[in-house]
Formats: sequence, structure tokens, C-alpha cells
Amino acid sequence: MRKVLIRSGQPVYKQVRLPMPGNVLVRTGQEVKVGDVLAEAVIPQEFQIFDVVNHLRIHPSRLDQHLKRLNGETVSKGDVIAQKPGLITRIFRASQDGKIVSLREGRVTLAMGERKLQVMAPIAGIVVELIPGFGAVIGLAGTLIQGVWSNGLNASGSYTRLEFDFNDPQQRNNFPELNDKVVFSGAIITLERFRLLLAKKPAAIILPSLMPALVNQALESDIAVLSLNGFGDQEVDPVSLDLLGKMQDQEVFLLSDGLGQPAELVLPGDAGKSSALFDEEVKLGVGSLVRLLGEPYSGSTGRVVELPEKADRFASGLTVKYAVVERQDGALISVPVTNLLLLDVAVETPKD
Amino acid sequence: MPETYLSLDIGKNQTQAWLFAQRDGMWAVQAASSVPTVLDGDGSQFRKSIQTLLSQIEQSGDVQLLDNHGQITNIRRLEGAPAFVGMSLSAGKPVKAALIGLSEAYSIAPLRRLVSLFNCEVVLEVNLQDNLNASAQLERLLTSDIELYVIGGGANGGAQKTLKAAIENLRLVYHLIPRTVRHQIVYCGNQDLAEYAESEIEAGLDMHLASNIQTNPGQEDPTLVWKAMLKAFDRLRLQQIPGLADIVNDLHTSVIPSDFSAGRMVRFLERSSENGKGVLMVHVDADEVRVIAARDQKLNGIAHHCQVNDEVLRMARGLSSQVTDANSFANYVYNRALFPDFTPATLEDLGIEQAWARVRIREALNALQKLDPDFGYNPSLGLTRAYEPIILSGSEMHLALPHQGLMIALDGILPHGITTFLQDEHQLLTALGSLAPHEPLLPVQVMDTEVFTNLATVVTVDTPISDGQMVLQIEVNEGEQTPRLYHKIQMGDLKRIETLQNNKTELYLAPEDESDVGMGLPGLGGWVGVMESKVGVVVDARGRPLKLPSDEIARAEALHNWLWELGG
Repeated sequence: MRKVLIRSGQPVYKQVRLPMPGNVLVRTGQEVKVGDVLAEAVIPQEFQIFDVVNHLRIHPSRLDQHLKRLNGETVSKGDVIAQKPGLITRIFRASQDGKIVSLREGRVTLAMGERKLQVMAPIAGIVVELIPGFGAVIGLAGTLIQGVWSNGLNASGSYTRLEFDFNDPQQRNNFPELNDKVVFSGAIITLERFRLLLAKKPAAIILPSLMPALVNQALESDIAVLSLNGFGDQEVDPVSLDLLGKMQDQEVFLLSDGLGQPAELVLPGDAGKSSALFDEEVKLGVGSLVRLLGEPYSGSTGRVVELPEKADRFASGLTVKYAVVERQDGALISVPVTNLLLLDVAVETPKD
Repeated sequence: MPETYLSLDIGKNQTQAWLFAQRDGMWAVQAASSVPTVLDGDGSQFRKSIQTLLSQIEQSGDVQLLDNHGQITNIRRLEGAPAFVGMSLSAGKPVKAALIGLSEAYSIAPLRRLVSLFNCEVVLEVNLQDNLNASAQLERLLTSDIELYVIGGGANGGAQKTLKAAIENLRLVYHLIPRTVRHQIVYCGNQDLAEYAESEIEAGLDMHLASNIQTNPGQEDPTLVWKAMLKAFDRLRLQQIPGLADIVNDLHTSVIPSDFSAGRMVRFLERSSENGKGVLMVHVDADEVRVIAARDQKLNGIAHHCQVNDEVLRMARGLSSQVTDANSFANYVYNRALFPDFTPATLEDLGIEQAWARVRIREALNALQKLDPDFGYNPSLGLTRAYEPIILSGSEMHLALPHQGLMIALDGILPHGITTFLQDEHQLLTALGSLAPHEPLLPVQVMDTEVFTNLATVVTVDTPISDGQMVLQIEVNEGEQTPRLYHKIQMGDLKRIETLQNNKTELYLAPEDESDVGMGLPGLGGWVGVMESKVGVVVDARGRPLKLPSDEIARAEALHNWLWELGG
């Protein structure tokens, strides 16, 4: 069953890994800051292949006489790799510093320059685990709200809730400056409003839900975008809203799992009073806090009050297992179990 | 204990298992079970889920699959273990493949068709006739995050120079760039260079040699490369999915792509059919549509993930039996992609769900047409070549009632002539495909008895005449005890005729002069015998392309009425 995490005063872990094997540059227990390099892989920047036989017009059997370097040798810019003397001397020189990585079939392959592929810490914390050859897991304590869709970008900045009435013509010229801020807006964000937000160059835009018409804009933007609930016009659940309120004017981090994937909004802070070493796996049961998927209740939350074993027939004619959910307004409704998103809520009071 | 065979299919959402045993001398399903697929993490959860699945099968079947402590163990050490365990897999991201060939028509296109049955996404194509210099070619090979390289091209004994240069570049790619998952290389080009490729690239077990996919100029035989592709797929997936290698080792099996597994059976059905038509399988899941078509001894398939855009949303909305505003429709489709397990609980949601499935089927068929120009699909006219049966499966079909599933398929596929729609409710085709090479009698006997649900026989009337005019008369013979029934079909009608229980219903089709019901010529009719089916005989005289009212409410009403005609 799919779930989202909403936590405060709890451990937060973020895995950072290279796409290919390399060297891990940190150690367990090390404190890392945002931007610190955790691991890197070094690969050649470019390759150059030179067909000695054809370009220098020599007989393949006499190739060895014309080659001046061996396979595996390091070369410097300008070094002669192959040479054919004569009336007009033909020479092949290394165009950059590099290494001969292949010498076969009359062709020389040079690997030149080096390109470092690095992964950096997107958030400050302690290295709690190494992933040998690939990266590390950063651990910290704080508040975390998971959203279900992001445009794949990470960001950080001062959190601010946008208190702007888009419908009030008098406010039109008083749109606040949002430069480098992580902005949350609970208003309905149309394409026009979204463009207005983007023009203010915030570090990130957090929305309760995203209008489908904004998806392409969000994907093309270099500003991080996070939708907490998905698509359409949905409200934020009260627990998340409360935690968002406590983030005001504090440095927060948006950590994305990739394009179109979930992302987490993290506010580093105290560990709270939780003493549990490991998280207990949260399962759907009576008392579970859930978010409802599908109209007409999309985005609203409630508690499971009954979870019968049997299936029930819904208006669509489909017969599926269901849960009885008490919504916040007290209404009891039957919802297919598949249409519930489990809210894994652990909100702790911070230490004094 | 009797001899048994076990088949496992690791799907994106569910992992299923089927146990087959002999009953009265015939192979039959003895037990079946499923668990949610868990691939994340270090493999321990994955192993635990397979263990749970095997335990469930053990409890309901006469077989031993786990040791005395309920743990997965070397299955050959167990008494009463299955004679063989087949394993297929569609979970995980598609394999990122690069195709390297000497020409578009003779090597790249055949390679595209080859890899499409092996859960591959083509991320790079290198046409060696593009005259890229060796350095530029190497850069291209290095830039994409490729997992599988497939090299084809060149007639045996033909030119070697460009292919040799590409092989040399592959050697560099294989050895110079560190990878999390070791590349697999399949060589199916000019056979004069096969040994050269193997010794030059020095990829050991990651190199897979096959015969030339191009048997003669313009002729391809992908079956010659299947074995090499299966080995490459197996090696990739064992590296990519934590815990899979141990399970495969314990169960003494290998992993094959689910589509390939089902494709084996689709191909078998086509070969054993005497009607001269192809066999088509359309598998509709929440996130993708898989189409497998066997025809004229050829097998092609595609797993198609429909990209949501305004155009497909507009098309889908036009195929909904409910009136839904554009925003709500788009919200549903976008949210559906986030939550693939979602169940449409309201009529409006169901209308959107089924309309979206129709468009996704059309898009998938169109994608297969692009891959295989002989497939016979036209986006407006529908499936113009004859396929019978058309087999439906997947979670969307499972979710829908029989007449709803048929309606989705009918509007998505738009068949012509006469054909039969079957449903593979439990995806047994995939299960049987992984066992077929080890016990060929098993799939034959199981398919004879219990694989398919007969959904309907569909008679499509192709005619140029306009709405409201009569296009076909039908005489129904339900036996000598019952008076004959007569139906008059007008252009624009969708008519259902119930079939007899446990008996054959005979229909005489008498088309009007310009009406073609697939009997060979317009105006030609005849007797058709149909077996009992869930929906019955469906006569589709709505025309091709499907003509729908332009008014939104009238259109939804028309679609709703057609659905109602088929069963409510």
C-alpha cells in the first residue's frame, strides 16, 4: 500500500549515489554541509580515434615501425604518436594530454582530459552509512513532508507562505519578492499565476496540487516544483498545513527522487523525544490516517473506522475491498482500499 | 507426489504463481496465487514475498517448494518439488538498448522489432551508413546510459570495414567506462565477423553471439537471435534486481521477459490455427498496453506507455460514455498515473478510465504498426488485417465487466470482418510460455481446457452507405425446437445476439450488396457457427472510421447506448 511520510522531530535519511562506480570521499560519522562532494567517478572527457594505417598511408605490416608510443602510455599535448618520414613527413600528434587506451587494427585511441562525475550533499547532516563505490546515506533530524510529484529538481531556501490574493485587483501591483525562497501557495494556481510565480525566481514552488495544464511548464522550468497531493484542485491535510506553518522563514530543503517522482520538503531541526531505533512499519488498519483519492473526495483526509474483509459494490458497478472512513467533517464514507493513501504521520514535540 | 511444474511471473504490481499437475492424464492448473511485487531495498523483502507466494502454493497444491523451516532453498534437494520452475518478468524499468546496424531497412528496423519483445527501450540507434567518424561514433555510444548493445547488419561474407570499426568502439565502451550493471552485447550481424567480435570485445559471458538476423537481403529471422537475447536479458535482470539472482539460483531457472513468454504461446496459437488469420493479444494495464501479434509465421510485440498530452486527452474525452469537463478528465488521467492501483468507484470515473483505455489501445496498435508495417493497423480505420482470436488480458480488462471490457477493446481495436474475442483472465498465457520448452504437452492441454473465457464473436459490417439504411439481415438458428429469429441491422447499429448455453448457435449472415462482413466479398454472406460466450454475438455496423456525434452530450449518449446494448 502506498504511503506518504509526514514527520516532525524525527530522523530523516537521504541516500545519495553515483550512477556508476567511483570513489566515496566521506566516512561514516562525518558531518557534511550542503554541496560537499560525497563521491566521484573520473572518466575521460573525450576520445580521439586515429586510423594510422589509412591516414598515414602505411602498410599494416609496417605499422610498428611508425608508432612512437605504446598502448597504455600517458601522452602530453603535442607528443608524436605516429610518424611516417619521407619527402613530406606525416605526423599524428596528441591534441591534448591523455592516455593511449587502444592500439588495434592500425587505429590508435586516445582518452583525453578527465571529467569528474560528482554527487553532492543536497542537505547538511551526518554520514550514517556508506554505499561502497557509489555514495552515502546522510542522516539528520527534522521535519519532513512528502509530496507525490516533483519536477526532479532539488532546492533550498527560506520557506515562505504566499499570502497574496490573486483575485484582488488592488493587490496586483504588490506581488511580493520571492527571490530564492521556497514558496508555498494554497491558492488555485492557474497557468497565468504560475508564470507570475516563476517570474519572481523563487528557489522552489510548493503547491497542494498541480493543474495538469502546468505540468509542461513545471517540467521545463529550472525552478523546483513539488505537488503534495497530485493533480487537480486539492487541499493540504491539516497535519501538513500545521507543519508548513512552523517552517515560516526557516531554511528548508526540497529533495526530489527524480522527474515525475515524489519529493520531500525537509526542515532540519531537533530529534524530538522519539527514542525508537527503527521505524515501525505502518500498515493500514482501523485508526489509520488516510488521504482519499478520486472524486468527489480527492485530497480530503480522514480516519479508517472500519476495514471489513468482504468486498462491496460501488456506483461504478465494480466490487472491491473497501474501508469505512470518517472524514474530518464527521461524514462516514465507504472508499475502495486502493483509493486510500496511507499517511505515515509521526509528529513529535521538540525537546525543550 | 505427482509430477508438477511451477510458473512464476514477476509483474510490475503483482507476482503470480501457478502450479500445474496432471489430472486424469491431462495437465491442469492445480493452484494459483499472487502477492504484491516488492523490488525496492536490498532484496530481503523481495525474497520474503516470493517465499510467501511459494508457501501459499504449497498449502493449496500437492508439492514441496520450501524447506522444513519455510525457507526458499535449493529446490532440487526437496522431495516432491516441481520438475521445472519457469520464471518470467515484466517488473523493473525497460532495458536501455542501443541498436547498431548497417542500414535502416535491413538491420536497424529488424533490430527494433527484435528488442521490442524483450522489454527494451531503444535509447540510441547508430546507423553505420551515416558516415560518422570513429571518434564521433564512440562519443555517441558513450553518452547514453546503455545496458544492452545489439549489433546487426551486413550480409554474411559482405563488407566488414565499418562493422569492424563499430566493434572496436564497443570494446572501448565495454572496458573503459565503469558501470553499475555490466553491459550485455548481442551480435547478430555478418557471421564472418562473429568470432572477431567475440575476441575483440573480450566481454566473456556478457557477449552473446547469434546467427545473422538478416537471412537474405530483405529477409529477417529474429528467432535466430532469441536465445542470445534471452541470455542477455537474464544476465541484466539478475544484476539489476537485488535478490533475484539468489532466487533464480535456488529455483534452478532463468528469467525471461513476460512478453516473450506470452509471445511464445501467441505464436503457437497462430501456427496451430487453420483459419489463415493472425492471432493478437492486447494486454491492458493501468500504466501500459502490451500488444503481441503473430501472423504469417512472424511474431512482433510492443509495450507501449502512452504519453499524456492535450491531443490524446481530447481523443480520450471524445470516447467517454460520460460527460466530463476537460479539467476533471485531465486531473483523473494524471492522478491515475501516480496511483496505478486506483479503482474507479463512480460512474464518471469509470467512464474516464475506459475512455482512456480505448485511446491507449489505439496508440499502442499504432506504435506496433510503425514497428511492423505489415501488422495492418490504420489509426482511423482500425485493424484492417484479419486476426482471430483477439485475446484480451491485463488489469484493466480484469477490472471491467465482460461487456465493458469487450466495448473497450472493440472501440480501441476497431476490427474488421468476423473475429472472436477471448479473455485470458488469469494471464495464463504468460505462465505457460515459460514452461512450454520444458513440457510442450502442458500448454497444449491447459489451453484446450481452461485458459480463455470466450467473450464474444464480433461481426463487423463495412459499408459505404449512410446511417439508418439496412446493411445486413441475420437469421438465427437455435435448434429445431426454437423458432428462427430474424434481425435487421442498420448502418450505425451495434447489436448483441445472445448465444445458446453449452451449444452452438448458428447465424446466417445476409449482407446487402455493398456490405462486407468479412466473407471475402461485399454482399457475400453465409452460415456462421458460434460457441457460447459471455457477451454473445456482437454485430458492429457503426462504420470505420467510427462515426460519433460532434455534440458532446449526444456523443456520450451514443457511447452509453452502445454499452447498454452490450449488457448495461
